[in-house]
Amino acid sequence: MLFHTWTFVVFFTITMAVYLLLRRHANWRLLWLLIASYVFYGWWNPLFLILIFYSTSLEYLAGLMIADTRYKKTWLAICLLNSVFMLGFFKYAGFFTENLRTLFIILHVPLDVPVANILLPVGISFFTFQSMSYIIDVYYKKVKVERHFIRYASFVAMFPQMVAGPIERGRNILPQLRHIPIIRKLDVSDGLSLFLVGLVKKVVLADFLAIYVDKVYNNPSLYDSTTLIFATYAFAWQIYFDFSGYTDMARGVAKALGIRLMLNFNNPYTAVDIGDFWRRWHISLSSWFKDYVYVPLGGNRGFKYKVYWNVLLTMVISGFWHGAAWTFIIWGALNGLGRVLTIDLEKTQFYLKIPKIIKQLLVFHFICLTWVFFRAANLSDALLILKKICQFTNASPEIPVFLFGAVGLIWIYQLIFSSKYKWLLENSFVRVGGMVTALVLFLIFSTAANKQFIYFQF
Amino acid sequence: MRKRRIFGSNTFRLNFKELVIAGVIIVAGILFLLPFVWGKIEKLQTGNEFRISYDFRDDYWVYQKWAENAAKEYPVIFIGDSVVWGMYVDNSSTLPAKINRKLNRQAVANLAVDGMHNVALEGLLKNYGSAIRNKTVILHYNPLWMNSRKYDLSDDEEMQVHHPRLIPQFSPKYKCYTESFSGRLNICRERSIPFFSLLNHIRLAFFKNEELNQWMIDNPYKSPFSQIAMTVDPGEKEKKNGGESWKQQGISAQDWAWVSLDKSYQWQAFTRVVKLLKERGNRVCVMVGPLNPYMLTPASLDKFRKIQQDICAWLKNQNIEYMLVPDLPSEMYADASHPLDKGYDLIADTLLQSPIFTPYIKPGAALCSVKK
Repeated sequence: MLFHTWTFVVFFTITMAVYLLLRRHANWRLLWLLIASYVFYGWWNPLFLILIFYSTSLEYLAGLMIADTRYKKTWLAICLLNSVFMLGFFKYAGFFTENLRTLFIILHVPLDVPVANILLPVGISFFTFQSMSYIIDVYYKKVKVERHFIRYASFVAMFPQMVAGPIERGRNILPQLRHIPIIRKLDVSDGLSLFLVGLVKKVVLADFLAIYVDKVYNNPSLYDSTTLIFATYAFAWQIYFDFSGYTDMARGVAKALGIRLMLNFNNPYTAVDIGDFWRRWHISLSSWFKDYVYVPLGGNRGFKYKVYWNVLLTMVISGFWHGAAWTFIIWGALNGLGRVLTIDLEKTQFYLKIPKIIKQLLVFHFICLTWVFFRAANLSDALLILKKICQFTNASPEIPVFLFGAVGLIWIYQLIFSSKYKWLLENSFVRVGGMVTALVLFLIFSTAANKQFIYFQF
Repeated sequence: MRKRRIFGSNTFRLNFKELVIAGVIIVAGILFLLPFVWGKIEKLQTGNEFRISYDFRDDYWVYQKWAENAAKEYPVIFIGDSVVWGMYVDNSSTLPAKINRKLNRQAVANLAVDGMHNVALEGLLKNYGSAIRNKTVILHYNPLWMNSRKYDLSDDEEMQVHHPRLIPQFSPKYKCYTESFSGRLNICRERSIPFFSLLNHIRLAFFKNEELNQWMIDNPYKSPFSQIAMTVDPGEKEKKNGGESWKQQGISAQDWAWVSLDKSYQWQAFTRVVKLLKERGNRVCVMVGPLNPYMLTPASLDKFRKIQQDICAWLKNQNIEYMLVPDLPSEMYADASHPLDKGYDLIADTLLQSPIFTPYIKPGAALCSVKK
């Protein structure tokens, strides 16, 4: 069930109506939220519900065992291994068997490894990471163990954010679910504002950019360097609008239900260094990796090269989380490498003196370079694209001028937003005018709206 | 007061009052006022022998405007499918055009559309044909839509339905029509909110039936605004050479099973169409056929004759004027139901003898139903 379909409108109307009717009955309301979430998730494939119910039950039990028994480490290990196994089986089995098969061919080992072709449950990476964070937090006593099964299950499966984040933490959501949320007029207007902005980002911008990007990236050998550069720019914005649009809608829906989800994107293409970019892009995932991978590896402690290693390793794992392919691993490694190479540079007087806009442009272009690996169908396509870009052949990129102009305006908007001139955008006429314009564009483009979100594949 | 920055990464945070203002602008201004103003400004190029072209057959905005114009300018409205529209003939040889020529005046407007089966016709007239009121309406009934459960839409097997945006989306339910829930709601939205009908019209009229974003990808340096004109010419332009008869085309005899009246979805829809037109104060006259009897096997022809009789009995029972198109000579049929030029000539002559045209030819002439 996609947020930008009528099915969701009907689903949400029913869900919200019953949710409001149950405002005086906390437990029933929670149960209703869980039922709605399972309906939402089961809409893709009811079989997925078995998986999420099993995973939820085991983690719930593990949480209790960690809190109440002496076998804390054992239960933590069981739970983490279960999560890793689930991800490994559903998401990475195909990757591993395929690579093993290739390796055997190279080494002339006479073994035929069948390539696993397993259906990937939607959002498995998201809800697995959310559960893992809860168990680790319970173990380190950063969050109170949840003894109410329905509440815990609602936290794991909460429909606004379950399939594509934000990857929430128990310490943010569980306390909110313990009380009857008070839904104020402001929550509804904020929720609606967020939802509408997300809708426009997805339907008007991301899906439009996708047509251009798909055309070029599906046949990169047919295009010259200018077109490939523009297609890469276009993809950078497509993935931003697609993913942040989903997050905005998720946060808007949750807000209308009286639940506050964390900010997941903060104008990432206005970042002034690579570290800054990762504090603005997919914040819930970046902070997850920081808390549960980077810090346990040693974080900033230790000698310089150990810190570099920690950064690099964390980013490689992050890349692998995104997808079971070498392109994603290289994407993560490039980001890690970029970060490592610029950690010290950022502290120099030279870098501090560089005008902000130049830094922003440099970071944007570096990130675009890494997106080539993220978007390319395979490694050879990615290398071909980079090779062709470096040939500097100049032909017309054939990107619609209106689209290019619209993206340019949004970038300028974001740059103003993060500057001292932000007040210009806070005028009521600008906001209402902007919203009306955005909605008119949405109405025009909504007839063709049926595309999945990019991050559903992860 | 919560900090503003917690909200999000932009300032599109509208309070309740601002959302209401934005909502009013969108609903009143864009969804309803804009199509109204557009409809007033846009000129539809029609003229003698006008019929909506094949390319515009799905543009129901144009149909609505043409129905409004025709209701003002013509005393008789002819409604039907490709038989009336004139599948194999030029604009000058369609049935309405021939009648007009024989009457020596512009009396009949061609409001037929290609592929307009009765289930779709009901949707068309309900949603886009409200201008057809207090007129004389000749309603064509093509029994061919009942020749099998497939075309009758009573089959369970999925199929490509003609004019899917006109058929009922939720009730009654047609099992052969398998649109998604969201798709059905989108169609309902288009029917009830004029803005979406206008959008569809703009796409068809100015963007070669492409979605706007796809058009901009195909024409990256063109402005979409430069494509839009306030004059539209949706008339058929194609010159047709008259076509070959069904025998020359090598079409063999068919053994159609036919669907009886009591089980036919198309027939049920047709009866609702008659009721709707009458409720709008129209004088409804029905033309049944033509249908090529030579293309049917004897068994199939028997079944068809029975259906023909049932249709006439129903019409008689409802006191509806009707004309059963007589069998034309075999060489005058292009296929199962479409006549060729000479066939239309013959039908026009027959129709002009019917009471439908009495007020327009010989005032006070005796009423009689023309039957086979």
